[in-house]
Amino acid sequence: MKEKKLHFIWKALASICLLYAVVMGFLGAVPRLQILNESIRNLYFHVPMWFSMMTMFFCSVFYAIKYLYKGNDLDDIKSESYINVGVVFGICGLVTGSLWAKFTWGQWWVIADPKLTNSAIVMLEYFAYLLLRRSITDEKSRAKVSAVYNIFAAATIIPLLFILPRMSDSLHPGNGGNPGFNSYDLDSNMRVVFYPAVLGWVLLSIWIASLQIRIKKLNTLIEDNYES
Amino acid sequence: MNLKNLFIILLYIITSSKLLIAQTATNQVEMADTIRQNGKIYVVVIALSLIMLILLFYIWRTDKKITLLEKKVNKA
Amino acid sequence: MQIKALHALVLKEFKTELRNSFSINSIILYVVSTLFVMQLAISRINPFIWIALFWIQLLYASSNALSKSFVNDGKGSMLFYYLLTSPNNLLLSKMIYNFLLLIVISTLNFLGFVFFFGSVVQNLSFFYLLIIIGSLGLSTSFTFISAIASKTKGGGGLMTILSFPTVISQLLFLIKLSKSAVDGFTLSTSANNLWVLLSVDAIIIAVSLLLFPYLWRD
Repeated sequence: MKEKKLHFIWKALASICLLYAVVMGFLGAVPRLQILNESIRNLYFHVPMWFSMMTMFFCSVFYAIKYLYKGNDLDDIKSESYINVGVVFGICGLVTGSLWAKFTWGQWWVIADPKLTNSAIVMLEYFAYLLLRRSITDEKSRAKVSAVYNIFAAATIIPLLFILPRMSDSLHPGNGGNPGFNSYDLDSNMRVVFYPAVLGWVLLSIWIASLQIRIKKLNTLIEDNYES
Repeated sequence: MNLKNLFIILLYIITSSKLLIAQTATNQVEMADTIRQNGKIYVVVIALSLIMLILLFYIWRTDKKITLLEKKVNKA
Repeated sequence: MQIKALHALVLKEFKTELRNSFSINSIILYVVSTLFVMQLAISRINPFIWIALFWIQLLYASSNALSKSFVNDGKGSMLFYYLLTSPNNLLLSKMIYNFLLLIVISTLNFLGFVFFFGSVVQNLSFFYLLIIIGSLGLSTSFTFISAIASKTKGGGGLMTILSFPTVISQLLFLIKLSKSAVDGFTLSTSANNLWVLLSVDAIIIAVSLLLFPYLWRD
């Protein structure tokens, strides 16, 4: 019963944060900036997508390492589900970013921007992971190989998404020498909506991933029972 | 890098000064103020929160279904 | 990681290669024929296209050459290796062999390009250093990815897809540095980018060494 209460709490928190972010995202005050005008509100949606994706991939790597260590099949299921949901959020992040870019920078995609290029590379890596999973038929081998590739891919994300963009010039705020959100007019008005938005979307991603995990667990249970 | 920042700042100053000349002193940047003034912003807010509510409700319902299934499987 | 064992393994790779020289010959043939086709299509070339074509050519040649490194070993030989030596030794030996192979291929490629299209590179030693670093990075990533791909039934296509992201970021830096080599800039101005490239290589090698024993156990 207590576990049920705990589940209810964080899921309710996710829902409340999300609704708050959606409502206040439009009603709340934002700084008046030249090129962005109202589209700065996209910050409440585009950035949390990437935060959720990073959370998902981080959880996935955690379970991949755990799988390699212990060999528990459940960890492999979790690792895969987290990547599935993470890829969806990554696509959302790319699409929202592209839309935003069209209206503020004038193009759907900017060619040499390090953050864009690197996030495309990261998405490709995880698509390759999904393909890799489909191409191995033996279950144990599949789990092991995909866990290895998962760790490999996650190790490449850290320099690609965090270190490299800060080192070079970019149109993206928070790069090209500026430390990040501090220098980009994230005044207190926006922070009040931004932090709950991030929390809400991250919790939502965890919720969706947990649903997928439970479905897969049930499927494997049913398969095992049918066989025996 | 510094040159680029300088250029952006210069651009900012030029465009904002142009806007200043072109508009009244109170409205320096074009925002969606007119939509807010007729109250139409509430349409956007209500529409999006409805979508959000529907999606959340769907997720919550799936959650419930899965819990039921889990109980069934665990009993058998 | 004993040096003797490593040495023996690398020698063994060379011997297998010499015995049936199928793979090195096919790579040489591939490089020469693509160069020939390019030469038919292009009459004059500007430096940027030269650089782009060079690296594209090298990417595909190395992908072809290195995809065979683990796949051709066959099932029996894996058990043989398992009984004989530690996994890291095997991986390192393959990486070293592939690195040397790739240096040969890229030098050949470079000579071919100079022969057909003229040398656009002004700072030659810097460019050759780039070739070496590029070969190091490409060979290590392709070796590791081919180890992964050898477990699957996806074949060559899967290997290209798997390796594409890791290789792309290296290529980006290699091309940027090639441009500065072509323009004749000295080493010091591009030192920053070089360090990034080297560190990416180091990360890939470290991660591969860490992860390979797990792949190995199958």
